[in-house]
Amino acid sequence: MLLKLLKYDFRAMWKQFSLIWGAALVLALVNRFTLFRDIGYDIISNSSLLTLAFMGVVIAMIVLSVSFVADRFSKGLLGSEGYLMHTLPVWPWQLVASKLICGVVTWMISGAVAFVSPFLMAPMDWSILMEFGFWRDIMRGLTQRPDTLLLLFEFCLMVVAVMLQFIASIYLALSIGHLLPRYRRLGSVASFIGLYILLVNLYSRVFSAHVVRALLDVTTSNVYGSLLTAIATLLIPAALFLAAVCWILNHKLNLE
Amino acid sequence: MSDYLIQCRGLYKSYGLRPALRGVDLAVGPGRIVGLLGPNGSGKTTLIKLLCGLIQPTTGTLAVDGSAIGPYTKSMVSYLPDRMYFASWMKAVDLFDLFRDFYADFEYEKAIDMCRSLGVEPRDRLKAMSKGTKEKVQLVLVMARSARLYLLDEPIAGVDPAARDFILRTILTNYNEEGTVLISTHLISDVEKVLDEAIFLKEGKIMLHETVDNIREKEGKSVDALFREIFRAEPMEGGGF
Repeated sequence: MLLKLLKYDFRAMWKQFSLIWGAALVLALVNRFTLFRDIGYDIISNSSLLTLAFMGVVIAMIVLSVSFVADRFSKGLLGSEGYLMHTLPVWPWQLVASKLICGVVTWMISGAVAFVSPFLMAPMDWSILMEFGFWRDIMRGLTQRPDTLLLLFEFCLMVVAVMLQFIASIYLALSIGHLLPRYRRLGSVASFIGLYILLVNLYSRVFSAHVVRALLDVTTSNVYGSLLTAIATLLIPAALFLAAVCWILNHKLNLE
Repeated sequence: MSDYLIQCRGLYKSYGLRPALRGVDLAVGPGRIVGLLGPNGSGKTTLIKLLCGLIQPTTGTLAVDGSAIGPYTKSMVSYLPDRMYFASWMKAVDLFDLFRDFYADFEYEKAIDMCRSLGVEPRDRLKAMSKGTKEKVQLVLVMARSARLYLLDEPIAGVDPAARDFILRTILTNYNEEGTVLISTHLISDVEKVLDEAIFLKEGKIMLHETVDNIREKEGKSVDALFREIFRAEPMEGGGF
């Protein structure tokens, strides 16, 4: 059932983002052919306009990505669309997991588009990318130390953990706001701020405990352990937040 | 499998301090067309939403086919809400795909045929459809299932008498006859002729739950006439209510 929900959520994501991802990539490509040729002194030259358009699209993409995550959850599960989603024969955790996975993937693709676009714009020789030697050198560099790939993998995991914690906070804040009889949006914003204050306080208290500090000394003795510890530190509150979201949807759902 | 499709015991639901249902005890068997009748604010929508799992009871128990509300009961319930639940990007066929994926009893071809007979183009964007057409799509989604329990929340409210007949005909010619249909409405005269049972709800309590034949036999009047008698509002002196 989770896969079926994912199919539906990914379709919603594609409908919303295919245009903006495409626009960002196309504008980056267009800029590649105009940006480094136009050296006129007009402030509003063609290249400036295209660069501005590109920046606008990238900023819109970032804003849309954040609002997409909040919107899909609040409208999809706590708003009118919830009448459809909550009558499907699935458990609430599956609804949340589907939205969460789709949100993380959306952010990852948006991040990838934002990362790749400047390379598309740069006046580099693309034929190099087609050469086997180029990729062989990169792979040789990466595998020179056997643990480089592991480090890269752990770093990617940490990025995903940061996203998970942020999205879980948004979901919990929206769910807490949903419990209020009125001023739900205001309640959600206040809850989001409150959750981060709570998180910072909790982290400072937990990490000042002797047992935890002793544990940290052991686990953070090298960079790999430090990254894994950071991932766990991010994922534990994220898991608690998501459990609270599922509990609210299970026991306190109120689609009045 | 339980003898009763719907069972409620001491069901109580309040929104804040305002009670919507107050100690509802109810049992409805399979293969019935039941009218959930009452004036606005009597608790009809609340009871239906509880059966769908869209809201949770404050106290009391609730079961569909002997099971607490969950994925199993949701798989057998076909629900027509009193509002639109579409995402703006969807087409009717997208919804049909979704229903085919999640409900084993959803008949895709029947949905397409029903669209054609209702004059709805299933490949049109829902965003571009009129309110009436969207309502037809929602009706198609509900009635293209061979569900065991149909929960229809005010399906004929807000439409002209000709459209009411049309909607009722669509329901009656498409529902699974082994299943139960629970129709909430306050337009009694329009639905009376198709009902097997009537449930009168007043201020969150069940005033009456009886077969329509028994009502006519015992009371010597139609369900509509009895409803008007029970729910009559007395005008205050001076013309106000």
